[in-house]
Amino acid sequence: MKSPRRISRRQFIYESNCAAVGTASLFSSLFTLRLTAGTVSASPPSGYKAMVCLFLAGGNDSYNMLVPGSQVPYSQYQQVRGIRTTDNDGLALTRDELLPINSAGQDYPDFGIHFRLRILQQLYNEGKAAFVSNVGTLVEPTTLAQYNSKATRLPLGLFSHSDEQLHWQTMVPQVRGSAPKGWTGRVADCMDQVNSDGTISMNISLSGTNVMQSGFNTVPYVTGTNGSVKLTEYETDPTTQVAIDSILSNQYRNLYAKTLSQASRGSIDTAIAFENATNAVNLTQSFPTTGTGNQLRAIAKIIAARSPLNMNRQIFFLQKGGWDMHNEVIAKHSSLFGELNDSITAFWNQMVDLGLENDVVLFTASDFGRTLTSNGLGSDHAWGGNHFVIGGGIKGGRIYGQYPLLASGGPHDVGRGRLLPTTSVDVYGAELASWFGVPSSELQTVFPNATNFFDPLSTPFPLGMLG
Amino acid sequence: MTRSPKLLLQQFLLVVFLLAAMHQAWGEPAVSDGSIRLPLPAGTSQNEFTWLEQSTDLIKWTPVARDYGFDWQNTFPHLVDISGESGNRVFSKTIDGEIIYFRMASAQVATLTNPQTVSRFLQQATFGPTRELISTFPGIDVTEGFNLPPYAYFEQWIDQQIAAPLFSHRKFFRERSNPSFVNNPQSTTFEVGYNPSLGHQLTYNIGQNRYYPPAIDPSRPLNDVEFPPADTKRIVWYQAAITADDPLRQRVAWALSQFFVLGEDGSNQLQHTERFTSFYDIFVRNAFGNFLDILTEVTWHPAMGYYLTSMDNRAFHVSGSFPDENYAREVMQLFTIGLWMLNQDGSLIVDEKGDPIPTYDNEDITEFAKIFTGMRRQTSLTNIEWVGGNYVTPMRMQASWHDFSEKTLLNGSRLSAPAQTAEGAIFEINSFLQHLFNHPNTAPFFARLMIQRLTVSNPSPGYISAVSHAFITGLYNGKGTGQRGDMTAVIKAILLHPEARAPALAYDDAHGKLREPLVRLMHYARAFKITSVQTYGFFPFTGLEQAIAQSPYEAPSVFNFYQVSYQPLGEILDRDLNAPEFQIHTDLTSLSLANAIRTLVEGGIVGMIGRRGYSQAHLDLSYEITLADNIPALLDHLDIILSAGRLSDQNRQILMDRLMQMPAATDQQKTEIVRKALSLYCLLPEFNVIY
Repeated sequence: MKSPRRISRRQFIYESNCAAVGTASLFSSLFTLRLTAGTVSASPPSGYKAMVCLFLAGGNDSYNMLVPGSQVPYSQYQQVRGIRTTDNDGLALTRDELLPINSAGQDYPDFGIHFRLRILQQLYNEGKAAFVSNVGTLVEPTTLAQYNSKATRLPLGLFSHSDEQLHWQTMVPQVRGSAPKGWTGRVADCMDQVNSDGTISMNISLSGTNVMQSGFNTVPYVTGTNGSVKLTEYETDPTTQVAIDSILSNQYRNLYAKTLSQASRGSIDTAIAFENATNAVNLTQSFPTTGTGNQLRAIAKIIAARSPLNMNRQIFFLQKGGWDMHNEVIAKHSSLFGELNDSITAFWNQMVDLGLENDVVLFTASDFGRTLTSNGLGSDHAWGGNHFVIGGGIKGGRIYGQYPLLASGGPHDVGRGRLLPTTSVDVYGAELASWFGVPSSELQTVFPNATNFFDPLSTPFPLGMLG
Repeated sequence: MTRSPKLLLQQFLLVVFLLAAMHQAWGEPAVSDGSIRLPLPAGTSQNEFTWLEQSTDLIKWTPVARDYGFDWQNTFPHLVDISGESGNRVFSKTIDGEIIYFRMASAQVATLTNPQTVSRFLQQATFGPTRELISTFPGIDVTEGFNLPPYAYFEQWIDQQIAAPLFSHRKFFRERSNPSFVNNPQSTTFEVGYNPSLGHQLTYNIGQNRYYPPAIDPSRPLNDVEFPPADTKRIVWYQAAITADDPLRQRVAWALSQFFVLGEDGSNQLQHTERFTSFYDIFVRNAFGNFLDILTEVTWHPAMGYYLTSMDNRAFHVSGSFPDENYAREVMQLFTIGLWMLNQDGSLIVDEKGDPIPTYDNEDITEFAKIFTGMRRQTSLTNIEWVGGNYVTPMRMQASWHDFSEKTLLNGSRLSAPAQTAEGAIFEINSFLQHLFNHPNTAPFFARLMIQRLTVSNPSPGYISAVSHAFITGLYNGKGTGQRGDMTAVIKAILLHPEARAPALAYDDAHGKLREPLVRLMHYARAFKITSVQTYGFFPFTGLEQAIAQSPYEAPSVFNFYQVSYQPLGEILDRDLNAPEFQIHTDLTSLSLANAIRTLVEGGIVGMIGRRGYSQAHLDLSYEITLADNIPALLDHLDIILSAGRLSDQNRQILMDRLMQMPAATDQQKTEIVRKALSLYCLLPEFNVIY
């Protein structure tokens, strides 16, 4: 039998300069990072930069996060989403529930942000935040007619959580599964030499193992909101330490045993280095004690410890679940956006206090947008959606990409108000990667489908948002 | 058992034949018509492992075929062509202009002792071996043929387990909670009455009111049995995992609960117990029943109706909105057929371009969303734990909300419009479930996942095929109900397949799996007889989701704790193998599971795994302490009970070196030795991995 996954993965290895180096290493130990050092010839970028990916797991109903404000498109929005009545059928926000903003470059100037996201309105109006509209997974540019006639290659497993979460993270949606590895993992594969004095992986996750941060040569270091975990038994006495070192340095033939002992070795060593560096940090802002607040506080602490950790480039991943709102959009959005608002406010203020507001960028990702039409109580899985980007010296105060017409049977509606994306995830990701310092010559390695949408060499910032 | 049996050290003898050397041993390879054909040697003994590897560069070698005493077969994920009669097999491969090298090797593996063999089996079939389960195992004292096909002693044990008294989670809760619960003699789902002789031991709710159990000993500063109400269902679960007399049933139920996932996150009324235990009982009751019954009960359970939002779903003509697609999608993607068309051996069916073929498209989803309409909660609130409605008894049908149009099924056939009554709508939903149940994908899709949960991460095509066959025919070895979906046949096919049993496979480096973290923790609790004197014998573990990334009812989503095809970086990925459990084996959990086990060993249920500042349960190490002045005997014992005879010479020596330094004169010193041994043992790959 032919195994499409395997062959596809090999192609990526052979095609890419960065990823073809060395044997695949395990976990984020001090030792494995060395294997990849010096794989890219470009001179190392200077200064400090960090990307923070806030993944809204479950599929954010983002056409209620960013809503048309001008009269005609707002009425269309209201009509397709349904006016809310006592029996709770509709999903449209009222005008009172929207914080007004303006944007140049769209078909009409007025928009509204969900009323719980006050920090977004503030930063947007200060030019420190922007939206990118109708972003989604695509293999190649696709029109509605091409979608209907199946004339272009489409992402596999559209509208499914597990597939679309992976596609957002691999940015190779024509491949099923995690074999192409994640895009920030590939960034780390290319750029690991930037942190050559560092002891911790460039990718750090507050939400466990994830595909986005797993490359061919690196994996994320996984830490928690309470800091790293040290092995208690290892700390008891020197002879026990020797025994554990010996157990972990034995050669194991069985692959799971081998993988396990290598992982434990890396985790023990990294935790020690990590804790030494972050213990000394005191933050100036108090963060809400919510899931997102705790995670962003932990990230802020690691960013503040960038010097003792010798990190010049870091990529953070945190996940917030609860967005799969089949049954209830309005009340759940209000609660989740409230949590995001308060946590992001503290995080932003902390970055300002650290003098890093132009060096740290926070952006959202999510499985997919949701159907514009209601299923009676909530909305179902769809495709393109809206996202926001904060910080990083952004050219803010505008909506990038094309905000679509929200109407049943509109030019991007593939059915029930599932919107065909007008900006591909490659464009969104490349904008961030270029800002982070990935050389334009390497963009196609990180985003294998990039050339289907833009010319990475001449246009490394396809949106013009961060560069 | 008064004495540990003598340990048989594993002696691996490895002989490597490069292609040149193969000629004499196994005849001439032949090349013609663009393919190479290698005659394979005749079958070997069950303690010998022979395998064939191929390489294009003489550096990286990939195993493609193996014989562990049961004839030649492919190894996952390779489906190469092995033809010919048994004893005269030929491996053939198409070659397109490339140079391919082959080599063959074989290794001898020493057999395990009977207790080691049984311990290994119980690691697969229960939440962990105990000394009692090993010493009472059928045939434990026989000297010949114990671990040979058809594995009659193991099948005998399985049959005993099927007949053993069933531990119902719902029953356990009802007997010990609300004094007004009465027995419903019509119930087949353990709607039993309160048992006054047990007393009010567990928290329960009536409407908005909550009733905590009174303190057992009011003179103590805290009520020892007042726990966070959401933890009550987990306390019942730990009780079952550690003490139940039907450990195989409980382990199979846990595996099923990771196939038909319902987590707290995404559910409502987390503080209530009966809604969760009645759902979990579907797996306990039907662990040896039929897959279709499980699928049907899961679909109609109101806790699932809430979780995957099929409840209160209305037809378009009723609401003016499109029916919710959630259940229609997940019942196919996760509970029955999966995303891609499969052969019976679990491999992907591909089209002429080599691409996999989807099982359904989005039009199917919108079509099937119409089927799951009209399902609503029952209104009856008597004799169950309730608040804001009935989330315990199966949902009812409100016919006026159902979409009665004719539907097109996956195979293009039509599900004719049902009678426009509640019965008609119920019939339609159940007919659709049957349609999925009968789909050719369901058997291999389910087989692979259940094998992964119980025995190995990368089953060979032949193994999946054997389990699929049992599912389809309802027969294992000619026995069974003969009904498609017979779970007993499926479980026997998984646990009694040579690939789960044969000792020679220890030499296959891709054999086995990383054990689930929760299973490893329960293993310690069981092996060392955890007891609790202050809590009615409950084991109030807490915070396991945080500490070890796995806890009952705490799967983060319907996609379970890990994905079936997860591949950690390194050789497992390079060989395109899967290892789901590594998805939750992170820098945090790899160490904190060891910390959790150490906490349990040193102090019992306290600290990072407990609810109180003092211990609420402790391990009984008295047997191990009797061995503490004889370290080799202690390690022999631990090798049986914790690592099923796989302890390597090197690690045995490391533990010896460390433990021999400790004085063993007093009881306290002996206790310290045992605790040190147990804390170090949980770091050994031989404990964490089964192979």
